Amino acid sequence: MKILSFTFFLCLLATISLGQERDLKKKPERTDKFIHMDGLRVGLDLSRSLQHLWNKGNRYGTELSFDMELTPNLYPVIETGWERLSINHDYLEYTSSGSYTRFGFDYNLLVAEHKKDMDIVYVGLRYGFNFANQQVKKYMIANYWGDITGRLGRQNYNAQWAEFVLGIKGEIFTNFFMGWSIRGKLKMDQKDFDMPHVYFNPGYGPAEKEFNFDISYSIYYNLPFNFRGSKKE
Amino acid sequence: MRKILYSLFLVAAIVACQDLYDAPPQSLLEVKLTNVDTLSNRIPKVSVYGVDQDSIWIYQVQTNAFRLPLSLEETTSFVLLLDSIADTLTIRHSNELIFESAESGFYHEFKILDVGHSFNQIDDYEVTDSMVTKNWHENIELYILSVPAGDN
Repeated sequence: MKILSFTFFLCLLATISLGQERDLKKKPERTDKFIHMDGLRVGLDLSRSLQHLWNKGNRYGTELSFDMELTPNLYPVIETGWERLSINHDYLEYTSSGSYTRFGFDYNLLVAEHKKDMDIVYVGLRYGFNFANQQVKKYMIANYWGDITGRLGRQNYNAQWAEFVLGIKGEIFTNFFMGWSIRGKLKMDQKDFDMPHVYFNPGYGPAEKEFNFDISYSIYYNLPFNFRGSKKE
Repeated sequence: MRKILYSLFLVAAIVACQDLYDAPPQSLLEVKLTNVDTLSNRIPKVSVYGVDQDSIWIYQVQTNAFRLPLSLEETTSFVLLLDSIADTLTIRHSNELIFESAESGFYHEFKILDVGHSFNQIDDYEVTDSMVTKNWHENIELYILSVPAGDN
């Protein structure tokens, strides 16, 4: 009886799986297999200069992005920027700064309502790397035998990481866009030191974490450069 | 809606203003006092100060365990007053600088290499753990006489 019940359960599972597979196959193909956006979109990440609001220390930076629709709904992206973190308190004066670049692409999930509809909801992947340096300008250790002070020289380092992106870009005026994104960052490689450990990675965030979340909020302008020479209806 | 947005902004601003940092941890050498006479339950009044130091580290505290700060020199010496009878305790040690985090800074860890003492109240010692770290634990056990030495 148990075998019969188990067989019935397996058959039921198989039927459900087949049904789901059939449903997936039924999914209609995209109707917007055309280039939505001619030209090159240049973006400025406004959130980089406001990061001290949700991070410890004084963290700020600038980031520019460039993307274009290479094939329908696929947007290669380059993001490049600079970040600095300084933490100053009674026991430590620490600074870290550096530049970073990310390469990758975004895929638009939003089906366009018409040919001039350039709004996108996208998922994307990035490969990021940075070149940075850190310095302990001063440290102080309180001690009964007399406070101890010292400093450590500048240290250069680099890191690599992968990013998963989910975001939107909406056209608010002709060729002007605003958008935000949520990012999951997975560390791949990190040059580190014994003294002190790398604390901050520009473009990535806290270095001791293998996975970081981040948000961004940007404005964009699409340079209306029709390099394909194609005509829009 | 606008009020909610203003409130959120205000909360974010307040949170941003509250960058609180902890002091770095401190590695302290922990000393346990044990009576040589196992039948005695004497708990002495302890005072401790560093040799050549003006300030007292512990003053007249009745205890059988206490913690001591080590210096960055090769040896650190203390005067221990157990029920007002003085002994010197000298620790020879190495030290290592440790980075805790950018939020709290640096501290030192120590390794006990040798221990020396006078014999007024202290009879003997045992190093139970030579590593003096930020996780305080017993490092040295001092065996003390059950009655002040002069009363023997």
